[in-house]
Amino acid sequence: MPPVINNEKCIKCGNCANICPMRVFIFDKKKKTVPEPRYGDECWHCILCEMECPASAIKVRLPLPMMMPHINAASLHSSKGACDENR
Amino acid sequence: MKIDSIRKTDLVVIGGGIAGLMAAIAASDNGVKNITVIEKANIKRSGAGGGGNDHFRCYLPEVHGAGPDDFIAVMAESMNCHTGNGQDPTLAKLFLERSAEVVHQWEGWGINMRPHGEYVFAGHAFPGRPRIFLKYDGSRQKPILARETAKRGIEVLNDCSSTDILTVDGKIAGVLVIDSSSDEEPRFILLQCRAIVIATGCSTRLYNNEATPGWMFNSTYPGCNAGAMAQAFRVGARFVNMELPVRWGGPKFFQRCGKGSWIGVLRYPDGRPIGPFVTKSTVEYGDITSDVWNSVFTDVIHNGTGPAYIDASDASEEDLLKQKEGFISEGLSCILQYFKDHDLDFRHNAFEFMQYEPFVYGRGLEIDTGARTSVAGLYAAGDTVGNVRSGIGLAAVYGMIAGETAAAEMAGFEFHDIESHPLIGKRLEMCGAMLGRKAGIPWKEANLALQQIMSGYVPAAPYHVRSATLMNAGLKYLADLRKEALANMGAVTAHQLVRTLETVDLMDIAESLFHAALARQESRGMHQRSDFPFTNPLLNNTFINVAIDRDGKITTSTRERWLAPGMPTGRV
Repeated sequence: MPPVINNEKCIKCGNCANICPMRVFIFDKKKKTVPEPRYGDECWHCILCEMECPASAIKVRLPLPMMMPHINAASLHSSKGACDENR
Repeated sequence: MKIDSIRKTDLVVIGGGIAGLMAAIAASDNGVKNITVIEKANIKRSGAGGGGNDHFRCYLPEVHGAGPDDFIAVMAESMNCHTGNGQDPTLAKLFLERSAEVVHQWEGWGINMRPHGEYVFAGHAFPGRPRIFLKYDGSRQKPILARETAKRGIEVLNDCSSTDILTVDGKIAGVLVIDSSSDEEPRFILLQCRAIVIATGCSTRLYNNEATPGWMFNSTYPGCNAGAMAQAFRVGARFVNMELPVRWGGPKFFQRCGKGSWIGVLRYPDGRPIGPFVTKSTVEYGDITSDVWNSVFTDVIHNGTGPAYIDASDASEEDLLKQKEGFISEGLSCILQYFKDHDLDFRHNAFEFMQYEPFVYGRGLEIDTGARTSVAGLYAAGDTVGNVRSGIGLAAVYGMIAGETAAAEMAGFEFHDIESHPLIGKRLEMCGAMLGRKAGIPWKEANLALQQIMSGYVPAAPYHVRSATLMNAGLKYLADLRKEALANMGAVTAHQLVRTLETVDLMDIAESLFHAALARQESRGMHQRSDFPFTNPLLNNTFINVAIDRDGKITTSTRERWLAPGMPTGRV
């Protein structure tokens, strides 16, 4: 999903647009407006923008299809087995 | 469309990742005055190492021992590890011989090569055998290399992609570049140069996405795809090993490499360890089972015994802390953040792993020990190279070698007049036509169609086969797709135009792969031929080359591997 920028927190420095390896954001250096995540569907969710935002104004959400399926690890060490424990 | 600016520089480095920046730095340190790095994104965070890395394959005499047998022991592990196959031993040997130099150089620049105080080798390791992966903190490696690049006054063109390499009478003459820093208005730059280093990394987006079908950018390193590799191919540079598929594994659905950063035991749902190597989580080894049994995650789904889980719930607190630090070093903070947001924890949760779709990594441009391709004045380094591979470590070492060789040979190369080069007008016309088709076919349609053809007609094992009839059909469909795509693809913005051209480049890569796969008339690794169903021992040391000849026809040939006397050979 496109990174979400909190307009009130954003200090319009353009760092996110600058460092994004996928070039997801468009930032107008002259007008200095809040960056626009124009190519949000090309985000690969590395969260570098979120980590390096000096104003903590960005949140990247992992889309549902990318949920990391997991189980309760205790079930792997129980006699009931993973399926029963996690049902 | 027109050329907006013409510039003259001695050396152009295409791609500002680890290999590209190391090449530019080494060329500068060896006397090349005018160097220009072209980077599609921004060199601070671009490339497969943009977010970081936490393991660097190398031979350190101070750790491994300085004797000949010590080196051979590391070489043997190196040739047989998960990224060991398909290498020329001569090149792999040189990589290891010079790897310590880079480790020490990086340390001097401030990259933390010993986050645990001393050099620690761990992960991707067998109990009781020599270890070859140095655990380091690469989370700031790109900003540091970018700083070293700036210190030397090397010109960097961020937001710029190459569209074509220009040659005059077979000699390197220039690069045509799109500057997409303004999304509304793409600009074209013509770089006249004497030599070029290609360092554009691996190639993703060729096959259907195995984790999330249709989500093309949920892949290993989606920022990399074989742009300049295809451009080199078009001017006659030879590829090697294109037919041998590479598939990596990691967390299910969220494609993320860095399996070596995970500790934990791979287990069946009933808790039994899948492999014989570890029974308790340890940061020392990880679980090397899936390096040895590459298709394990797919196999356990197909045979119904799965899923396979990575379970670190029995790890010590000390090891869990080291794992967390490793994730941050590797650029996997996104996984830690997801865990935090969803209240997940390595202590309490086990995570399913899967095998991802094939990508072109460590397959492609053939180089020699000077990082020279088969075209004079054209060098290559990093994941785009087809006959030696080792991720970040290799990119760093061969990037350095490419820069050194280019510097040493620069005096032998001249500038050529390229302003009226016929390829420029042709490419500008094509770009103009694409930008003129406001309702044209979007690049994503063409890219997805390409992926369908690749997955359908030249797939990778397990559970998929290749054959002459399937691949010839695929080549025909690819030609049909290319014709229709070139005639109808449209782009509105500079960003879209770059992606559209990338898709065209991917079609060249795809075509070369089909031809190489047709030429390997045996089954080997994940290249399984139903019409040649066994591995032919007589081809154990045979590589397949593919290239475009002077008439524009794709041809294949074979050659013997370049063996290093007295050194372990590994496997093709």
